[in-house]
Amino acid sequence: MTPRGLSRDGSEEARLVARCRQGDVEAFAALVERYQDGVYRVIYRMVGDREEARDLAQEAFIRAFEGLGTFNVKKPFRPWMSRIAANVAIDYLRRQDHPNDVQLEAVFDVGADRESPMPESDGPESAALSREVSDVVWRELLRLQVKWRAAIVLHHMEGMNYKEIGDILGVPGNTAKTWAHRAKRELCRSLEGVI
Amino acid sequence: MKEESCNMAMEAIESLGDTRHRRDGWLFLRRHVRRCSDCCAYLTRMESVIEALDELQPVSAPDEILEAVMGRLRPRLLYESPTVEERSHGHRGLLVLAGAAGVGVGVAIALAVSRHTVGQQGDEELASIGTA
Repeated sequence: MTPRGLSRDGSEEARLVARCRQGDVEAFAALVERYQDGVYRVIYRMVGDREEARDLAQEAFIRAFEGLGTFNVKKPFRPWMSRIAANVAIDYLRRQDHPNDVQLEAVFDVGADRESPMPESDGPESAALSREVSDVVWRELLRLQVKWRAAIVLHHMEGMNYKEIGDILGVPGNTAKTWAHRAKRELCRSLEGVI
Repeated sequence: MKEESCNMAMEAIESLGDTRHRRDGWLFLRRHVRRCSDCCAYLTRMESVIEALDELQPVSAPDEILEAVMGRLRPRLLYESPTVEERSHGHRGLLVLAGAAGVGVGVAIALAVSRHTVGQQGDEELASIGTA
């Protein structure tokens, strides 16, 4: 989650939060504007559906607004907001009857976001293989256990360390690391027979 | 012995993408996969998985999120209780209003009393003129 236009030390966020607490609506609008891409991305990578991700991102911001009183302005805003986004996605997935199943179109929806799989010079066969690998990985990613998926999404796609992920998921950092490693092992297993 | 080194290699392979590998760990892994085809295949698959995860492009939020969130929050903010500062301003206003009302009532009572007194005096004067 890389917010636009905010200071590295978080002082700008702290000022915006303080203004929100005084009832300044526009200050909260500024926070939403700057964090909406990151919040949406975390949720979308976890639920694999654009429509649901959009609604859940709204829910995450409403939760954040309601919880602003508990936010410690001495700490960075980004992990706090990511925690809310991840929890909203996890709650949603847990409410589903089969949280590890995803709609087929969601799988290809996610696959459509990736960059060109291989440089042109590698030839069509390499490109086809790379695309097949990517499709298998995306499909399996969305079928992983929710906690494993959360760990790998937050680590590999959001660049968080395991301590931060552990804080978000309410487990020690080492547990988050184990979950991410199990997720990667599972993704590797899905590639047996492909490469 | 092979199994032990394979376990170490698998652990190293699963740590790919976590942090920078230590040089000695990386050298061990390279040497190991040269003579262990299973671990070599595992390393190849893991590299493909990490590459596939890294290939994701950033996703942008739909434009309507900001509007939708603020659309849900603005009505609440308009009708919800005001902030502490606003509340203290409100209390001050009420006190001023109550004070003004008190002064008004006081003035009205004073006027009524004075009219009553003046009226009594007038009646007495009229009576004394009549008697005279």
